[in-house]
Amino acid sequence: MSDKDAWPMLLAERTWGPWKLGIALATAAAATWCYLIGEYVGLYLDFFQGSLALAAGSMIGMLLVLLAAGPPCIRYGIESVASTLPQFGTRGWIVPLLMQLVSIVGWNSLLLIFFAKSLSQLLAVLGWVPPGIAMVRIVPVATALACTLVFCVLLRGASGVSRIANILVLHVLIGLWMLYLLVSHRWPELAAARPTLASPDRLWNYTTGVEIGISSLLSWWAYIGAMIRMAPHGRTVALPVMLGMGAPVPLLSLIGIAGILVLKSSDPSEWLRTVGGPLYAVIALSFVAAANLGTAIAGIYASATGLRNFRILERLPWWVLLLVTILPVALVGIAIPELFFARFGAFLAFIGVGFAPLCGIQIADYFLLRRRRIDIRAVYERGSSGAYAYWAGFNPAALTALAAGCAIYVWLLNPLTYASHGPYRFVTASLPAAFGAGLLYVLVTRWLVIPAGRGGYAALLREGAP
Amino acid sequence: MLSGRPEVSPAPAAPVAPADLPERLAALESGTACGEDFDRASWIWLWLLGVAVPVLLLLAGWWAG
Repeated sequence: MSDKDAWPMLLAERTWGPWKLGIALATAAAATWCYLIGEYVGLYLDFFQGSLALAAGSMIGMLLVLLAAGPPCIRYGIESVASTLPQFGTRGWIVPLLMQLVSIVGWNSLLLIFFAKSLSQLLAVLGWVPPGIAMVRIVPVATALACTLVFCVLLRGASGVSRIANILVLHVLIGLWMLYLLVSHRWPELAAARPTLASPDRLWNYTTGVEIGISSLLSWWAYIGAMIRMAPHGRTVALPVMLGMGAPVPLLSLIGIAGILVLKSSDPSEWLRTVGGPLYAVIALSFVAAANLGTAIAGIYASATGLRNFRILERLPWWVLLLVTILPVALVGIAIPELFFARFGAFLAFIGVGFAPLCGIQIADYFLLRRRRIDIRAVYERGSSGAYAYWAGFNPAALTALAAGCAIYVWLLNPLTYASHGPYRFVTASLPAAFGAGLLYVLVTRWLVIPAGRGGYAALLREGAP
Repeated sequence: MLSGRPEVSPAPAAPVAPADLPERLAALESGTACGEDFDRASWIWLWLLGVAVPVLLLLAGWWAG
């Protein structure tokens, strides 16, 4: 089945309707990271402003991702990494693949460790294991169990993702119930709560809330192609992506904003016991475990299909490829969970920086330069004579634009220290990084790539574009 | 092979897709096995949810703050 490889899927194989896609996307989007995202926003903004800034940023970020990877994935049934071949070239696509791999492996290691910790806490709350033993001995075992579960579910390919999503989507409702609990029990405190790290500059705080929303949703680039290629049309995809994937993150992040503002903890499994006793703690821990498992399944699936772009992995049995994808996650979760937790934030901050310019490059190329046409055969021709061979398989326009976009982002906002420069407070960091990278890509392509007759633009020129 | 078959539909019918990459590429190039890009209604939703609603949310949040 082609839903287990990186080959383009044909219309007859792409049978997911809007509901099925929306549920799968919502299950993938709703995970522990929502609390972390909410926590960051709650450090700079109060509940009301934080909610609106985060929601706005999330929808903008979702639109960027959908416009970047969406059209080629929907049209040709390819996944996110394959959609970058026209821009990065027949060897240069390894750069987006590495970004996808590092992002997904990193996120999923975090999620599965969270899953394991939640399971350990759950067992401790239920009194089935002594609390002291739980973290040290059970986390590695629970991580291994989670990896095994993910492996078994994904043996069925995309249908496994869909089946598990139909069950796990319930956790989104539990999340909303937790939010209701916190808001209804602690509304006066929540309304009066002030963020602890707020800058004296109101606009800076507000922009930072928006930026956190945009940059968080940009990491969906890694996931989106593998999911939306299961649907046949743009009209089947637009609403499920914007509402199913774009809306749950800001919605569930409200739990994190409220938690950090009122109880100084964004993790509901910590504060729900305080609010509602052991029963609520059990529900919260079950929620966290289910949420993270659903997202990890979608992530490992996207990552495995992305790896199929390597010729050497193209014909590997699906179960072997799954093992190859899950193994790094399992090793991190079993061997170095605490070390990974300690270093993860800094590591991931720089990963996120790359997705804004990547989106800018894809949007500029597909809509401005190629006028919504790509050569699907050239995407899969890896020789030196193909349209996307560029120079030795690399497109200098894409690599230069990506580097410039990353530099713009880091200059505007250091993602580690949150020190900002220039017009950041008016324009965020992600949007200028995406715009700058897209603009530079267009300029270098027009001045260097097109005159050199590379990139397949000559054929488009003959047909009247660009 | 898709050649010689009637145009495939997106209905969840029996899988008629060819297994090999060259056949897939040929089917996609012929246009019969391609999906459709965003239509007018999709663009309206994208503009509404990705631009108009965020702008309104931002304005509401700023004025309320």
